[in-house]
Amino acid sequence: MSPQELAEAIVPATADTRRRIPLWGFLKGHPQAAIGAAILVVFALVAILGPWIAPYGPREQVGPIFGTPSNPHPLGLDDAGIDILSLLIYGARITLIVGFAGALVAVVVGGLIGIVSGYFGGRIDNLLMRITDYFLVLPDLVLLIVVASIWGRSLRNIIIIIGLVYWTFMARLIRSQVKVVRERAYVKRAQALGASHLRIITRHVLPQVLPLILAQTVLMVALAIFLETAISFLGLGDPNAPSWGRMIENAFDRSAISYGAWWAIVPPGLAVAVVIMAFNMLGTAAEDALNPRLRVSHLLRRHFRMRPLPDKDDAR
Amino acid sequence: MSALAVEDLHVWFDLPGGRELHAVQGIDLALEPGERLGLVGESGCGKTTAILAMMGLLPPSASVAGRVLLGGEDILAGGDRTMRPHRWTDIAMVFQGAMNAFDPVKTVGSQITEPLERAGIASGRAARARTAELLELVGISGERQDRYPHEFSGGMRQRAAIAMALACEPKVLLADEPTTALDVMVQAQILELLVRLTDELGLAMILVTHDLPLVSQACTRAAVMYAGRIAETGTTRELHHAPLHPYTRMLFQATPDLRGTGAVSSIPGAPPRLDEPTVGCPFSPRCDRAFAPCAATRPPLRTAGTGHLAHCHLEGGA
Amino acid sequence: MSETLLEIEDLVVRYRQGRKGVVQAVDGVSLSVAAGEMVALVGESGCGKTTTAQAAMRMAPIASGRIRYRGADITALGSGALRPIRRELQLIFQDPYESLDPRFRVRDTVLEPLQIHGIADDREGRVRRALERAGLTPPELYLDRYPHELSGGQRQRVSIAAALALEPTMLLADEPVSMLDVSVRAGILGLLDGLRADGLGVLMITHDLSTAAHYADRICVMYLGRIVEEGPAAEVIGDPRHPYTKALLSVVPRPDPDDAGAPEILRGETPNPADVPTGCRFHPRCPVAQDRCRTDDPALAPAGAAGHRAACPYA
Ligand SMILES: Nc1ncnc2c1ncn2[C@@H]1O[C@H](COP(=O)(O)OP(=O)(O)OP(=O)(O)O)[C@@H](O)[C@H]1O
Ligand SMILES: Nc1ncnc2c1ncn2[C@@H]1O[C@H](COP(=O)(O)OP(=O)(O)OP(=O)(O)O)[C@@H](O)[C@H]1O
Ligand code: SF4
Ligand SMILES: [Mg+2]
Ligand SMILES: [Mg+2]
Repeated sequence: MSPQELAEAIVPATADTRRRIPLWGFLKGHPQAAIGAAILVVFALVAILGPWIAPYGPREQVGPIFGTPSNPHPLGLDDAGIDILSLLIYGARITLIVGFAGALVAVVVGGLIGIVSGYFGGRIDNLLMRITDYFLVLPDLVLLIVVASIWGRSLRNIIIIIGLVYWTFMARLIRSQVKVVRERAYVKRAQALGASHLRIITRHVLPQVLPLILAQTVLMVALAIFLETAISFLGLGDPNAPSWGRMIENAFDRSAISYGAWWAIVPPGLAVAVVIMAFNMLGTAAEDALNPRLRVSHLLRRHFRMRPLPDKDDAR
Repeated sequence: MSALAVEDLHVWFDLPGGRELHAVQGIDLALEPGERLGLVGESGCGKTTAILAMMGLLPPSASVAGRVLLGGEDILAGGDRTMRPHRWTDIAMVFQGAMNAFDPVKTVGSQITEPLERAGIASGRAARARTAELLELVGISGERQDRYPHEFSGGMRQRAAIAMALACEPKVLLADEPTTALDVMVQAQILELLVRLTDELGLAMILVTHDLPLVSQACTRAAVMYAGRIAETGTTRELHHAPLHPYTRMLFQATPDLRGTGAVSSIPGAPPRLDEPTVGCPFSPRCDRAFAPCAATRPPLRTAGTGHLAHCHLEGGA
Repeated sequence: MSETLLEIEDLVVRYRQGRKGVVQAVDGVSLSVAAGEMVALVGESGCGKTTTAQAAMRMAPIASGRIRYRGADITALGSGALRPIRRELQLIFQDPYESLDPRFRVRDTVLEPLQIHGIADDREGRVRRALERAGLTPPELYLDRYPHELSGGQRQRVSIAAALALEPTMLLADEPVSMLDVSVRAGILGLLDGLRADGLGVLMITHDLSTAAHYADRICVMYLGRIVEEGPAAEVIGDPRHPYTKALLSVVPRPDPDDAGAPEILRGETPNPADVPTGCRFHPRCPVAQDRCRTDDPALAPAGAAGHRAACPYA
């Protein structure tokens, strides 16, 4: 049978929807994702290179209180005479770290609970989902204030708070996905072979839901940054970490508005908005690429072309 | 005059990198009113592509050549412009997998009524009445039009899909694998329905399938396709008892018969790729009777009696 | 007499449906498969064929009945105790497009059973031999491909190779060819037939009676969760006794256009296992039903030649 099988092996592969999406193709096909990614790369570079590119230190008084934007200080000075551009650069670090770490906590906790719940189902599922529901009905703001006032104001606590607020969302999403994958025939096949739960989860289920988790993580970072800003604005942020949220809070606190010092508020506000938007653009595009909703059937677009008949090749 | 005639139909698909896939490579078919013609062949040989071309429903990546004559008029010549007035009203189709294509959140009836209203055939109460009538025609009680697809069995959904195609009283019906994935009893019911419809309504039908016995039982004539071409056409009797092309014979030999005793043998290998031109007979690498000229020159058209034609180097049958 | 491998006795499987509904997917099925024997389980869609096979693998909720493998009762074994049995008892899933992990290369798919059962020696050789036995030769051409790079027939062979990698003694094949072109079907069935001749026990599920007639030693006809007729293949095909089997056989299309037969197309809805009729479960569709059929539920009883049984008093 082998020579013929050889011929069979050369048959072109049939198109398959499960094919992986190459990163480059994805960015090319989703311009908004490319823009979002480009913005994030810039901000990430700024955050990483902060200490080297910031013109001044984050606590260094370099001029008058609320000094107006001018040549050595293009974004002006704040209430303590600190250079706002430098603060913004250092703030990028803190803000992005809190955003990523908070999202990570939410994804890890929510992911774990979602996977266990969705995979095992039954009683475990009921119990875990009941716990999730309790957290879901708890008002975020109350949770925030209670935790911050009990545990104190620190970066670590803010990260935990963000995780606490968002893990329920992640847990539900992943649970529903895992429930679907669990029913796939190849998971059943692994069960029939006698594979352990751990093996099935790590080798068959997780790789299938991972892309979705990644896309959601990106969106989650945007939410986490937003929440961090809100927490800081409410005065519950870490007093020693100059995040963008803290900058805004500080400016309001020290009545920047009555000084007319818009430059103390607008740059960090804008930075928050742009970064959140960028994460959103990237995340929604990734989500879109991973769950292709029913695309318009090719049968509806009938713009086939006519061409002349080819030469008769009967003589060949 | 033929209800539908296809002359030298070609379809190409654009592939990435400027390549092309020649999915249909010049086929000829003729269909008389009330006639049932089987179109058989392995997966990927171009059956669906051919009938989509007859419906003018190919995607932008396709280019087409040849003629599709409906009552003597070439409806393909002007592309979509000349196709549109005939599509669904004169020539209709049941899509491959149509029974799984119903929208799960809409009632079956509304999915038949909507196209009726959009096409301006009927609206409101009249459209509902027409939908009921169509469902009755395919053996489903008209009252069930307010049910959802999941409340229908596979066979009933397939009937509803056929009803949809009949909405505008076409003269030609193209049925793409209408019974694949259904079990024998439901398959028999659907086949009986299609036979009844062609007999009662004078509908001409092309039945696309890869199941030879189905064609033997439901059709009078059949065309066997291989790699985008028609290898052999003739009456189902001629194809079964006196095939001219080895592919036809080998397909029958690969089909187990309920009471047959003969050995069943697979056809080794696989069809050629269609994105490269083939030399000689496309079936030659798999053919059990291939000889010197087969791999070198395109086989000539052989005939044995009117309407029994095959492209093969062999003389005097396979 | 060769050893009986799999014995299913009075199997009942129920699924819960919605809030209070119960689907009796399998309702008292008994069958057995011996070494070197191919038994075909045939019947309409939804009659419980897949459920029976999955219950035999302990993958469906068994309400009552017994599953024995080589004489040992495995009905209540825990997953740890089941592992050695799952090494010998292999299941080929119905759908080759679904049953391969899209992220696994052919090599990984065939390797997985060896990893699960901790077989460390000569893995590469075992994988290659399994692929060769399943007709994927030379194996190098396939080892590094993903499922989407294979045709339907090749995928089905990969799932057969994965089942063969552990050198099982018993194979449950759920519609192994129904998705495939007729040109490759014969190859796969021939392969299973060869393995059977080497002593493998095969339970083949199919709704294609021609295939069952051609390859099986015995045929069990299932209707709405029950076996209504069973016997040697030639007997069941040549001398069907149950009216359902007769109807089923009559509608199988024949390749010869001159041999139309007399198709006896059953009317009525495809039966619903959530709502089983009283008496004989086939009576609402039965062409020869009498009054007693509405009340008496017939059991399998000898009919015709030795080993041939049917569940109909008029058989
Ligand atoms: N839109 C497309 N773009 C590129 N190639 C296509 C497209 N549609 C079909 N093809 C190719 O054209 C050939 C014929 O496909 P077609 O669907 O007509 O086969 P078929 O005979 O209907 O097969 P099946 O029995 O599997 O339905 C195949 O090789 C297929 O891969
Ligand atoms: N997990 C499940 N939950 C609820 N009902 C189920 C489940 N699996 C199967 N069923 C029901 O049990 C019945 C038997 O199903 P099964 O899949 O065993 O049929 P089958 O004979 O294999 O059919 P087919 O030929 O379509 O594969 C069907 O009515 C089906 O709807
Ligand atoms: S032309 Fe030759 S290779 Fe082709 S079918 Fe005829 S005998 Fe076979
Ligand atoms: Mg097709
Ligand atoms: Mg099944």
